[in-house]
Amino acid sequence: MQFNSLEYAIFLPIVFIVYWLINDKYRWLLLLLSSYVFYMCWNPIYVFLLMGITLVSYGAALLIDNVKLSKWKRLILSISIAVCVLLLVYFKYFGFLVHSFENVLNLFRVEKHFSLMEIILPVGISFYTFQAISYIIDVYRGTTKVEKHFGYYAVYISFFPQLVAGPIERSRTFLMQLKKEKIFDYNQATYGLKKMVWGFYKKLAIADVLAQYVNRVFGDITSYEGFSLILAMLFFTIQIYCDFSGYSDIAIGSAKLFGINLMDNFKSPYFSASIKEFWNRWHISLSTWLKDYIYIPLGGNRKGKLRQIGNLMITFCISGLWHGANYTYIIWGCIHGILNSIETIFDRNKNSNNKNKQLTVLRVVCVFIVCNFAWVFFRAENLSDAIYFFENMLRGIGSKDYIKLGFNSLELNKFYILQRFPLMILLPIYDFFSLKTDVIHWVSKQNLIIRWSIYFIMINIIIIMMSYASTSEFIYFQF
Amino acid sequence: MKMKLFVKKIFWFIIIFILFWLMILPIHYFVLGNQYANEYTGIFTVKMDRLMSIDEPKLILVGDSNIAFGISSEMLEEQFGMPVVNLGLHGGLGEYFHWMMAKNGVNEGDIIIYAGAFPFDNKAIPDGRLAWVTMEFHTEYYNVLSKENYLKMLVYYPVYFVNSLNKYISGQGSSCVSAKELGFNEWGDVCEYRPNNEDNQFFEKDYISMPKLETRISKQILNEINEYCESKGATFLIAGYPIGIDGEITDGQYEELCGYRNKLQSGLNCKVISNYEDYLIDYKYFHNTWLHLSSEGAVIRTEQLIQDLIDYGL
Repeated sequence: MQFNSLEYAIFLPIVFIVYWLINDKYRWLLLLLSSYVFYMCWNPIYVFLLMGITLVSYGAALLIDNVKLSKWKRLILSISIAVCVLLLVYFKYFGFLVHSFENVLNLFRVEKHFSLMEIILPVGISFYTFQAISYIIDVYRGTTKVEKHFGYYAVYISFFPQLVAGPIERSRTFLMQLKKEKIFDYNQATYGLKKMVWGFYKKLAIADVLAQYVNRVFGDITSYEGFSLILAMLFFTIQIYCDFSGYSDIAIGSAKLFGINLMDNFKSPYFSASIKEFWNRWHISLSTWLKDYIYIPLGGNRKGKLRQIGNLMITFCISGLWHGANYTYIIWGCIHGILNSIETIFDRNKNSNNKNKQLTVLRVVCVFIVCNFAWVFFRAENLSDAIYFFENMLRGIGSKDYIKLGFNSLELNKFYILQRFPLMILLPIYDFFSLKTDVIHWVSKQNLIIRWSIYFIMINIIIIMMSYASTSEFIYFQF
Repeated sequence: MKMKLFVKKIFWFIIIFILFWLMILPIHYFVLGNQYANEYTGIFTVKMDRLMSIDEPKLILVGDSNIAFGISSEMLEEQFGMPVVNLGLHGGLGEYFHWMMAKNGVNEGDIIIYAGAFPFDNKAIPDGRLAWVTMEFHTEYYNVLSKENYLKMLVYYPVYFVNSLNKYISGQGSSCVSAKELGFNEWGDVCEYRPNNEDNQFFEKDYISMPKLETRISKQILNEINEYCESKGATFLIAGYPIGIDGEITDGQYEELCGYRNKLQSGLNCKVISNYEDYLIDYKYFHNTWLHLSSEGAVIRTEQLIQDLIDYGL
């Protein structure tokens, strides 16, 4: 069940109405049942995987809490994490590992092909596995109390708005909210709806429009060259942001309807003046997870610059690998690791940077450009496509028709640009003002006619864009 | 109290939303009108007009675009001396839509031949946008819509409106085009010359699309249709559709096709007149998709259909 589907448009209001009609003590049960129904819409059999990971992490945390010897605690922690990671590796990376092994054998002129049964990737496995792992570690560290109520814990792992693509929520904040007696909060619910509208707008009016061009170019990259490649890169940079942040906004908005606040996942990332800042604003729930459970345990910045750089590289490579079983993702992670390391080495005047506005603008532009190039590896089907991209993106740059040919090869005529692309102007405006204020809150304070006109226009745009056949799955569902 | 306010606001928002689109509708109808007459599905009204204008017993061909691209109605008319109406249109409209088109003009003595390539697995139109593009404001033929389609049509209205507006502004729309301009002949066949797909020059297809009409739901719907035809004194028949073959067919597939007529006939009250293996046609006789025959292919298929109808006793 996609967020941008008629099924979800029926499912969400039904769950919402029943949720607020029933007694507070049964609400967790409704959320649990609806989350499992939601998950089963993809592939019913994988609900057992979700249950399995829930049971393993729940049981492990209980055991950790009960045993007294720290070596036993450590053993339980290691085994439970290993089970979660192995399940993730099996479903997500097994094929990749086997093919990599075949490639290594090929290097030694051993031609071996392992016939594998095709494993379908369970939707959201990377997200709920990470939530489960963070819970076990938090209980082990003593930063979170063990949850004895299995139902509450199962809701934490499977809560449908964030089940398939995050945000990767922490148990402490989530469970606290779930247990609290809930009274319908008008402001929270309306804020949630508005957040959803903005999320849908980003997904349908921006990401899906750009996806047509991006898919066309990256699906058959050797048929394109010159400026069309640069356009595709730029479009993907915007597409992936709108797609993923759109999903997060819908998830956060949906959760608010049930009186639950999820963490923010994006804060205007393309207005970052450094790569470090970018990672504080992009996929925040994943970057904080990686920081708390990988970077800091590795030593973080406490053991000298060299070790810090090594820790950064490991963390970002894992971040790349988390996104998918492909070398392109690992390279994407490495690029960000290298860029972060460079900033770590040269970042001497941390406090003086922000005072010079022109310099800040220049830095924002530079970070945006660098991110664009890194995204090429993320989007390319394989390494040779990425290499082709960089070899051919400047082909014909000397010609005066370089830009025009790029637009032409994507069949972007003036009429089409004027029809579709103005919808995208809202994105930088919203993000820019988000740096200083909560835009949704600001809109809510306007007079009735203005704010209802805004909602009305946006909902109409969403409905019209939704009816176009090009509407596609959220990109992060594959991770 | 707050919940009441929330529900009240949502309710009013929905009311205003509906009112807005109700206001758009007459503007659309009177100012923009029909804009899609110059596209492929623009032939819909021409086909319907022909169907409704013939009072004598006729042959009505029902099905998706394989009928539009794969029949020579002239050959059928010459052979059987009955007027022919080719109602083949578009797979995206669903097979049931094509039957609903025919239903309007079924009279005593008519022979309705269904030869679609898709199963009758439900009565809804698969593609709501296409339904609007086809139907537009031809309200006189809105009875071809079954009740399963109303909600879908409603959901897709905004996008149809925006697309119509685009066509109107860009000057690409049209409200009236003749069959000839659309590339059809008077019977409703696609008549423009379609070369063979020699060496896969137009498309590549390397598997065999096996028929899938034998499902319980398909048979139930087909029996309902047959019952209606019988009540009108008409005959409903099922014929094969062109099945592309590129190279060898496996023994298993061939056996399945050979037994398919009997398999389909079982539980059906209407007659299946074709052996499906007779409709295996080399892919080179197709034109641009696995459903569309070339001009040469259409003749081969029509000859086979004529033979089947003769064997049936027509």
